[in-house]
This record gives sequence, structure tokens and C-alpha cells, in this order.
Amino acid sequence: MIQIRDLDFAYPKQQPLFSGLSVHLEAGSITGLLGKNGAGKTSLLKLLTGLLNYQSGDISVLEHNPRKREVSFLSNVFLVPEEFHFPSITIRNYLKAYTPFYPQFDSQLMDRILVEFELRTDNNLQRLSHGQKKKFLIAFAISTRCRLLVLDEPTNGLDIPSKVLFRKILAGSLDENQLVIISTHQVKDVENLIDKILILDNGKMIFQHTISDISQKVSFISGTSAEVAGSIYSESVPGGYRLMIPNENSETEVDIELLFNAVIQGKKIE
Amino acid sequence: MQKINQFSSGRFLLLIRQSLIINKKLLAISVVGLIAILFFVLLFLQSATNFSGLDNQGNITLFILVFIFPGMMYSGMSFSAFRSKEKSIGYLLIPASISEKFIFEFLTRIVLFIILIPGIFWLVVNIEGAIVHHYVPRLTNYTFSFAEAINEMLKKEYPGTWGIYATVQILLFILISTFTGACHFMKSPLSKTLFSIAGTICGFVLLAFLLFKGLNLDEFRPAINGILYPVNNKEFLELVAFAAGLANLFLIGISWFSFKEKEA
Repeated sequence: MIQIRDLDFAYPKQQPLFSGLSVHLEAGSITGLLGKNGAGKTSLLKLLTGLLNYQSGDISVLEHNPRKREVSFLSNVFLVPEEFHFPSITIRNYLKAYTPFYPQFDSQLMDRILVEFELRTDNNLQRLSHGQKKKFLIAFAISTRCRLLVLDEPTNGLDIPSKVLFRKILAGSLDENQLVIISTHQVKDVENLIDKILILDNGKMIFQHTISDISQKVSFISGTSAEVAGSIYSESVPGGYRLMIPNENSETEVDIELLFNAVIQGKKIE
Repeated sequence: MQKINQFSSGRFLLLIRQSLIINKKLLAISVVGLIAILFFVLLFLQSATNFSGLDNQGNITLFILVFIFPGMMYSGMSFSAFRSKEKSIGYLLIPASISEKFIFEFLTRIVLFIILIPGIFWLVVNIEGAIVHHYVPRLTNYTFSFAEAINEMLKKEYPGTWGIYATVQILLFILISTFTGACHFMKSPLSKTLFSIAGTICGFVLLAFLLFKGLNLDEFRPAINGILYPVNNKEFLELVAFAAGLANLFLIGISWFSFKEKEA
């Protein structure tokens, strides 16, 4: 579904952001894209959706070159950016104006999600709070039934109940033909949602593994000492230490924050 | 798949519908505002001339001013989504082809303006004239007809046919250059466009002056007579019309490629 080969990209008059970046993603997963500030997560999402042009390499999304912005591509891709703008119209009018562009739009799903998010169709979009606008945009994105959903910091601005609803709605609304990419720093909000992790650092994708692959290879435990035999990585936490150790017999839940810090520091899970 | 990516009249109509849903209030306010401003400008001009009224030439001059200033502002607001990154992202990702979006902007910002503005002007001038005449009967010269005004101008040697054609091309240049600037520049497109045009014209005039004076080209009298060597006003107007027409086509090409390569 997404194939990136040897991608080189830099903003004008700036240092290269990506150098020889390669990624391969298939449909039927919710992928978390992680990286430090300035690593290029948002830029990568914009390259995937055709909003930026790259210097060299190859990007293929849904067998399209995103930069051409063909209708057959755009009608199957939806981006929920971190910052967005709505015109000063009601939700009802927004749906009238925009849904015809998405042939697979599911109005019933939209109505259901709006009810769960406590939004009414006569609400004026400009008068909603940032969190409410974000909820509406997420609802719209899911209802388009696009094959590729790209969410940039989707839980920013959402209250705690809405984050729970977001996870529930996203997990329950997708099918195996869809791919969701979530770029986020708030890993706790998505750790039970994502099934693949990508970590971007220094212009390259330094980590691309599924959650099941990770939990088969490493375990995440708490301990009173950092000196545990075979420990790959450890961090001091209140009350002791969190450790990442090679998995011997028992699979544990993946501690994404610990994993991220370990990978960024050069630790391998193989 | 090729067919879906071609220009679709259905999707084009969806863009029109979308624009009307989002902008109908703003459009209505703008049209009413323009009519009101024009009404009061006419009233002011008539009262300043002791209600003697404007002749056809006066009305045509006023029409040109109305065409230029509101026209510049209106076409300078083309591609309004490009004024901010957030709006640009939303606009570029709408599932419509590049040609549909570009043609939509061109038709609504230039073609529609060219079609509607003469009609609005004619309506306002005649209605305002009739209203004022009702209260000030000495205002007898209060009707206006484009056909009469143009016939009068055609009968005269200057500006004549080429003068009208040159004027039309220059008016189009004003609209198309601000349209192109709105596509190319993200912030303050109108002022940047005007600055760019002024800079280009000044640069050209300076270069021409240096060439003419430096190389004594003002002494050069070619034996041939052609469009690039005007020897009278009529030929000069031909040159202006030709150059402006060429510039317009060039600018439309620039705006197309600028739109196609737009990033957010």
C-alpha cells in the first residue's frame, strides 16, 4: 500500500531531513509513527499525502505518485492535520459541501460517531472548541472510509473520555483494506490501538516492527535494580526501574515509551 | 482510473456547490456593498457637478475605474485557501483534479467578474439616475448605454478600435496579474503582485532608457514598418494590445504551473 524507497528530502536552504529513507506498509494495520521533535514526522505525512515534493527517491501510495494529486488518490486518502481550519458553517452544511467528494462516505457511521462525540449537526464549526473541532474532523475522516487515514497528533486537545472514545471508534470502524498511520508523542493514548511501530530518527526509519514481533523478542518488566542480567535498556522510574530484557518465555505488554527511548539510544531488539 | 482523473463536469459542479454553501453570505454582502458604494459615488459625482450628469465618456471612465479597483481586490483574493497553511492543506486535498480547481478559480474570479460587472454597473447607473431624476428633475442626462458609448468611441479616430482592444487587454492584464499573484504568493499577494509589476516595468523602462541613450537607438529609424516600430498612435496602441495579450497568456501559464506545484 505504501512503498518508500531511498527518499531524500530537504526544505529549501535547510539541512536534509530524510536521507535514503525506506518504508514499506501494508493495509490492515494501525501504525504508530514516532520520533523526536523535528525528526520529520509531519513532513513525512505530508510527503505521503502529496503536499510536499521530494528531491529524489520514490514514493508509491495506493499505487499512485502522491505528488500528482490525482482524484483517484485523493478520494482514498484523508489527512487529519495537527492544526486545521473550518469555515463558519454548521456541521450539516459542511457535510453537504464535502461528503460528495468521497464516494464511499458512510453517513450512518458519521451520525453514530457524532452522537458518541456529543456533537450536533446544527453546531457552527467555528464556534466549537478546539477539542470538539478535532473530534468532528476525526469523525469525518473515519466516515470517508478512505483506504489511507493519516492522523497527525489526533489526541491533542481531546479530553480523557474522548480519547477512550477515539480508540474505541477507530478500532471498531476499520476494515482490513484500510491503513491508518498515527503520528504522536502521546504514546499512552494509542498504545492499545497500534499494531505496528515506526521510529524516525536522523533522516532514516530506524525501527519498523509489529507489536507482536516486539513482544516475542523483548519483555518489559519493573525491578528494583537496573543491573539485571541481559537487560537491553533500563530507565529509572518512581519506585525502581523499568527494564527491557530479551523475551525468554513470557510475553508482556509493550511499553512503547521505554521501547522508543531504547531505540533512540541505539539499542536493538534482535 | 484514467477517466476519473480527467476533468469532470460533475465534480466541477460540486466545487461550485461547495463554494456557494461556504461563501454565500460573503458573496451577497460583497455584491450589495459594491452596489451601495457605486450608488453613492455616482450621487457624489452628480452633486459635485450641480447635477448635470455624466456623459457616456464620463460613465465609461467611471466604469473603467470600477473595473480596475474592485477587480484588483476581487481577483487578488483568488485561491483564498492559500493565505494560511491550514486552509491550504484542506484545499489541496479536496478530491478534485488540478484542472477542475484551477478552472473554477479562473471562471469565478475573472470570467464571472467580467460578465457581471458591466451588468451591475449598467443597472446601478440607470437606477441611480432614475431615482435622482425623480427628486432633482434638472438631472436630465441620467441614462447610460454601453452600446452607445462604444459606438461613439469607435467613430472617433482616438482611441478607435485598437484603443478599445488595448484597453480591454490592459484591464484583463490587471485581473490576470493579480490572479497569478494570489496563486503564487502566500501572504499579502496583492501588494507583492503590484510591487513585482512595478519593479518589472521600472526595470524595463530603465533598461530601455539606458539602451536608447547609451547606444543612441533613439537616432535609429528603421526602414521597415511593423508592430515593433510604432510610428503613430494607432500603431502604438496595436503594440500595447499585442504585448498585453501576450503577457496575459504568459501569466495564465505561470498561474497554472504555480498551482500545480503548490506545496503546503
